Amino acid sequence: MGTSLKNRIILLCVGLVLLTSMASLVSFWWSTSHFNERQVQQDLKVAQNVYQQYLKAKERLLVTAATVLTADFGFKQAVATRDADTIRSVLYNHSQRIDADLMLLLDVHGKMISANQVDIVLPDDSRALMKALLANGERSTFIVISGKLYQAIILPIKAPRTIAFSIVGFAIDETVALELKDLTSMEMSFIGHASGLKASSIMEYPSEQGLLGYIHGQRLNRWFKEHPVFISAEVPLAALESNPISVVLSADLSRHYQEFDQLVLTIILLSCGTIVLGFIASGILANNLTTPLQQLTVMAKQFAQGNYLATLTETKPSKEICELVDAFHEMGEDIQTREKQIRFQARHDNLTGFYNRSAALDLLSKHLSGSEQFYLVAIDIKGLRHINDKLGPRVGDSCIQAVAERMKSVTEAMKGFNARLGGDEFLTVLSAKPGSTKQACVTQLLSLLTDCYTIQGLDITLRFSVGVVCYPEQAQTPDDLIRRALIAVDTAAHAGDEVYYYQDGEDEEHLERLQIIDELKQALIADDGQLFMTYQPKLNLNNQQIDKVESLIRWKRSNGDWVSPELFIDLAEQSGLIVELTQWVVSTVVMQVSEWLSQGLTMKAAINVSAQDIADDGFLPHLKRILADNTVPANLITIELTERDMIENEAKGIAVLQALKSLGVMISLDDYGVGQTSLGRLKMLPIDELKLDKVFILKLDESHQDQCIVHSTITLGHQLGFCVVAEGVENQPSLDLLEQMKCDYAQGYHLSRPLAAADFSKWLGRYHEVG
Amino acid sequence: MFVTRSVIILCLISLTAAHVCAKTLQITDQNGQPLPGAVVEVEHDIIMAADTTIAVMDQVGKRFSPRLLTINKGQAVRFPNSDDIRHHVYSFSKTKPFELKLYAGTPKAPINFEQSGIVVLGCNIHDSMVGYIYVADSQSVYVSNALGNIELPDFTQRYTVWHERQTRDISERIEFNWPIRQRHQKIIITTSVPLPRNTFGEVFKEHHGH
Repeated sequence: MGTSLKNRIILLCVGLVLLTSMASLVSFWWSTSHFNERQVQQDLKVAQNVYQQYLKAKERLLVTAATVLTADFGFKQAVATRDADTIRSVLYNHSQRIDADLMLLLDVHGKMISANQVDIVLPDDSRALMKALLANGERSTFIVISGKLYQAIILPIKAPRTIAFSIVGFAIDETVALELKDLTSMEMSFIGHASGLKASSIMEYPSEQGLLGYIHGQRLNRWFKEHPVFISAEVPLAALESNPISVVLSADLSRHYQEFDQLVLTIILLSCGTIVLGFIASGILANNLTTPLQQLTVMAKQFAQGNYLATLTETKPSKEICELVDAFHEMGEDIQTREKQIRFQARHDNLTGFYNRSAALDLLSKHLSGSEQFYLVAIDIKGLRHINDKLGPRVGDSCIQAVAERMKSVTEAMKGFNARLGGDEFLTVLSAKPGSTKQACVTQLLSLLTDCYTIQGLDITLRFSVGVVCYPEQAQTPDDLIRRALIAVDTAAHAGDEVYYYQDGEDEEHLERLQIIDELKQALIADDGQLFMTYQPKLNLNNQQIDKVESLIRWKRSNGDWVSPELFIDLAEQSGLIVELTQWVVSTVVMQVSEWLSQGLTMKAAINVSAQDIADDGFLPHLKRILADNTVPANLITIELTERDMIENEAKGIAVLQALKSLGVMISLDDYGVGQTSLGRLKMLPIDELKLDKVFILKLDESHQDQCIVHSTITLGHQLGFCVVAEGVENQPSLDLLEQMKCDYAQGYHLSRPLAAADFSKWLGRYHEVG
Repeated sequence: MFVTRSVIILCLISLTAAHVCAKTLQITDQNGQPLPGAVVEVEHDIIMAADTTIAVMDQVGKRFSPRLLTINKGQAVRFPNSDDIRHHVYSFSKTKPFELKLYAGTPKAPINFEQSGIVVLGCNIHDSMVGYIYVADSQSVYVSNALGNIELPDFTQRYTVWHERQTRDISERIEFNWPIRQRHQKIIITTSVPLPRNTFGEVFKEHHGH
């Protein structure tokens, strides 16, 4: 919440307003207080000028009046005659005339002759006073007489010599101070420092503090600080040295303060108002901005849940928000479209539009929920690889599409569904119609599918392998259903049948085979003796010596069960495990041969190898390395290959055989006589040995045909330069016959079963003892 | 009447004759500067007939002419106005207060000075005009010359001295006794420097010019 957009906007606005207000307040404060200070100083200066002018004017008036008075002949006459009453009345009269408060007449020695007031008492040193006044000339002097302050001037009375002096003066009292205050708007205080006399416009002040104390000491508490109420300027006036007089001009700041405070208060109030306004306005703005954003968030969440119809409830969204909402909607539509597409692609095959495997599993589980009976049919297009190879993958794809079309038309009528599992494999569900058999259903389907296709102008006839599983009798889960259908179709394909109906138990067998493959892999990795080699001796009929063995692999599982070599070798070939298995065999046999060699026994060993081994690029280097590692001569090793293995991938096979041969390894053609090896091919194969299949040897002594075939084959082999081996020798007569026929080697139970290495050594020892 | 006149003439002759054996008085101010214009009156018992000649105190160029006029008690003075402006001559001196209101030419009658003493003359409309009339008791009245010297008659024993700038009261005549067997005498009269006279003009000039 602390970092929400709304709060930030409000904070920003209010902060800005606050900052602006503070800045303006501070600058206002600063400039105003400075301005005020200057103003006050200016006022003081102006006031000084004003009061000076005022006093000067008074002085001029005084001088003029006094001069007129002293020049008056009658006055002079009165003074000259020292007519006291007349003088007094003249003084009074003149003082009234010029409005002078003080009018004294002194003789030339300073003795008072007369005064306009009754109770005037001159100071003792009136001569000094007179002299001081005279020294000031025409300028007025401030003097204190009888406790009153006067602005006075002295003028001689000449008749024509100075016969007396007249002191004329205006009283400087509160009235004057007030008058000056009116003129200057400053508080005026005339202060006689010696006599402590005061005439001030400030009427009320605490007597214990004194006027000056009051002026200097008066404080106003404001803004947590004491401020002086008055700013004063004290100006000395022309006065007697013994009684200096000064005027104190005091600017009363309280009015300034009041105005200033009023202004500050106004600004603060305005700022507060602006802040509140800013708060409200930014709140509204932020609301306008964030409400649609919140709604957009809700919208986005609804979009996330798949509700693309969600819309803004804002009544008057701004243009940008409208654009954003439009963009949201567009995005929603696009996502929806893509989602549909992705969902479709996730569940469908691109080429045919059929469901894919995982969708098929889903649909099957839905079908299973019903109690309806149906058949799951797996269809495999036979020879599609050839079509792809020969006519191109486009034709192949078109074939798949055409097949899919047919299937669709069939299943549409049968309320089923179709899926393509990959490549040429299809799956279709056919509902079991009451009164109809599965055979009828499948036949109907097959008859439609096997009709001739016209693809890109080519008439193509396709053949199919079909596997059928019945629900619910044969499988209950979708996985089982599909797997069993595929087992059935595999069986059909391998058997070359068109249709194969799944038989109960086949799946388990299949699973067991898978388990065997897994265990074989583990056994190979562990190499813990589960797998071991046995050696069946071959008798060299030319010298009656056992100088060769055929190495045969055996597997005794860890649970003690024997696994038939045919089964696990077949499974190894199917799973591609044969390569590793053969490598293990090669290593084991070569080491055994090496061991025999070290025991002084030179024993050749034959190893059975499959086509896959020959095709594996690592086979030859591995063999070479093993031979080198164990220092076993290559001619001690014979590689046995069946006819079938030899013709698979013939060109590469022959090249590898040539390489093996040049290595010195002998090559033997196993199971000769039962396969498809033509004599022409026999001529081309780089082999050293022919190994007659045991079907000709097992009952050689009893079968004339066998004897003919064996005899002629031996002769043929010898004439082609091959050594000939007969396996499956079960009795002495057969052995004897073979010897007569000049067969080179004999192998079979008559001599010995395949034996483990240790047993073989014992057997060999016994054989030689006997022999 | 004739006798009287002849006595006076005789006296004058004798006074003139006594000139040879006269006493000399030198008057200085307190700074030792010769003080001209000092009036010395010698007391003597000789009763002489009043001088009936009419002395003249003229006004020329806004000045009294002469500035100092010595007359005898009872003598009359005419105040002709030689200026082409009017004057208002007055005196507030106790010796002879009088007033000749604005006039031009010569007033009808001369003024008679019956009392001895100092008469300070002023003009009411020209403040700068100051004149003195010394009304002497005796007829032995002398005025010091530019060197402050006066020759006094041989009989001089008691005499008074007056000067317009004396610090003593203007009406006071300072009394001296001539020391015995002294022919020369030196006296000091304390004077004050006259203040410049302020006029309305000066006052106004000062104020307006400020």
